[in-house]
Amino acid sequence: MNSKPTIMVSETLQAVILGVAIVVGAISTYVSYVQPLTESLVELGPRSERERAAVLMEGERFAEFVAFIRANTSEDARIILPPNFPQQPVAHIGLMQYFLYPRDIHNCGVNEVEECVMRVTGENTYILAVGGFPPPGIAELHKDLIPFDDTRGLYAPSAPTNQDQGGEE
Amino acid sequence: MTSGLALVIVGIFIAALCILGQAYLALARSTWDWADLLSFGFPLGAGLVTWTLFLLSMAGLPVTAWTTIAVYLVLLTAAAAALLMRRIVPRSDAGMVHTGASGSGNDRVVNKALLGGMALVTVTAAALSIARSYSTWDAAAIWAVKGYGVYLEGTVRAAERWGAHGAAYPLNVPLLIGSIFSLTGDPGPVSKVLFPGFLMSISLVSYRGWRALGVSQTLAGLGALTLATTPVLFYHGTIGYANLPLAAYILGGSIMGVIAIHGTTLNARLAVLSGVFLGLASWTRVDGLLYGSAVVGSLILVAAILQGRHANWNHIVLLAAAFGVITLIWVLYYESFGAQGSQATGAYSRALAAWRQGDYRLQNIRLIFGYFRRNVFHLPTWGVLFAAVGALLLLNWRVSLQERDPVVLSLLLAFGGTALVTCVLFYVGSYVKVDYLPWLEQGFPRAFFPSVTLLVAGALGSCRGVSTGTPAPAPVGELGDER
Repeated sequence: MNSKPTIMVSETLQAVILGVAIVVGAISTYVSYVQPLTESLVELGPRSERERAAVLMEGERFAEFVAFIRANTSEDARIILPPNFPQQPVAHIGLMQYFLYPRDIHNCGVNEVEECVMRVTGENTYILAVGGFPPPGIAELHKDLIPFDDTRGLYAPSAPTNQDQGGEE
Repeated sequence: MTSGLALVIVGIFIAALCILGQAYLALARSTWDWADLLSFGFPLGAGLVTWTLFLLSMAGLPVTAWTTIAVYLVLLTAAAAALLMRRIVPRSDAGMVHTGASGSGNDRVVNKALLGGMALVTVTAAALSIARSYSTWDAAAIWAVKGYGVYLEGTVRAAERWGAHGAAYPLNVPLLIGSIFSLTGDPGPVSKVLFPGFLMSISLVSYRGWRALGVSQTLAGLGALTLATTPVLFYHGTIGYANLPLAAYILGGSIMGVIAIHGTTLNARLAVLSGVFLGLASWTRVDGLLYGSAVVGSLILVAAILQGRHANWNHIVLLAAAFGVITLIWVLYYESFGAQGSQATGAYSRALAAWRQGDYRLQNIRLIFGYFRRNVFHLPTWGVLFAAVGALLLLNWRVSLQERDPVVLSLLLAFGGTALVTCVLFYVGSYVKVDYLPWLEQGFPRAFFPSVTLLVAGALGSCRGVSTGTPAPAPVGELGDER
């Protein structure tokens, strides 16, 4: 006779505990994730999926730079990134493969930048110009710079050649 | 293709995966229960298709939208033929909301409210997930782009060239993303609806498991919604990482495992399916094989200690074998093509070299436990999940521990085992990470998903004595039992 009421109270108590966890969890979820993300998305307005992703991940200028690269390269282009040392988003092959899909993305090795830039002379090969990469005077031998801003741009092929050996990952 | 049409196609694709998983579950259980569709059905169907595609791609079959559809149809036809031969037909009397005579009016209202809450959480997560696109680092640079690359080049070997870390990461999630990409062009990207799908699956797998273990409908429903509203789980239902899918496989395999080993209905096929779930965890993340091994070890340990020679050893062997086969194939591939790009292998080698020189960095173990102690009560991460779970375990400890309930003990030991795996992984990682504390803070909560879902499963499982009106645990029924 004694065990039944105890168990009834126990089940109600456990339901209340879980109810509190749900309410607190739902409020925390709303305040921490749903509300801020919704505000960010509303602020972004209608954009392509890659633009939205780029802005949310690395900011407006990064998104604009990615859009600039996409606009100035064909989908079958090969794009050479700077060495990923120190790490930066525009030098990360995986990330740039996502944003520049389906383009063929490579980067120069940290210890052979000059040789790499000399080598990538293909008629559909582009070199990203970012923060001191590529070293001055080398890419200009076979590419023309399309500036994005004061520090960034894209070296595009200036004339067709038969060689295109690519960079190194 | 418009986003609307792409959404319709992805809806059909996910429904098809659910039906496939459900068909194989029905074969294992010898009964078709619609309520398994969104719980076990989705992760199982998804994993079966991607695993088969992987094997066929390694054998030379091109990976395209058409071969994906063909693989799906072959798997479905095989299951349908087997179901027809065994005369297993769909049942219509079970579901998330059980409206049978046993439920009172209040129960029905409560359960409809819970179902509404679950739908609201899932729809909100799906809308945010698609809207934010692949806007987190790993989601874009690993999981999504590998899928795009595999379907662009038509071979799983493309994963070595696309995305970060070469072929070191298993391809379950990339192939799911890639298949939707190839079917729709992914203008949304609608493939991100997969992730709230796994969130819902975790909640519903728990619900189905608890009901089979004898937990009351209301407590099981509340438990499921507790998981779905846990902030960090919800967040991961929107960002596109593989941790949530991993937790779904570990949890599903564990719950199936305890039912197959300790259930009243002896079912060898369910034991195999449990092993398949755990094997698919290895196929979802690199650390899945460690978490799966911890679960298998826990199931064996509890059975050996509590039941000894009387334990259901045949089922345990079948479970371990199914897990082992899938995991071994993946490990062979990983050793052949993936280990070079693997962070895990590099970290382990560095740690091993340091240990040989007596560099144990014990302060990092303190850091991990210190961080964990602070993090579990962090509202924006876990809400009050750990406090609630602790309270449930305290209330039910007498039934679970004094009566040596094998189900609860298995789930709690699996929690302990997987938690230990997480701690060891972060300890080993401390030998290679320069910014160790930020890495720990960012990575630990999501690495803890398998453990935390098992902890919740065990805590709610301990409520099963409550519903029987006796101080002893309820008998373990079959999946789909509504008591």
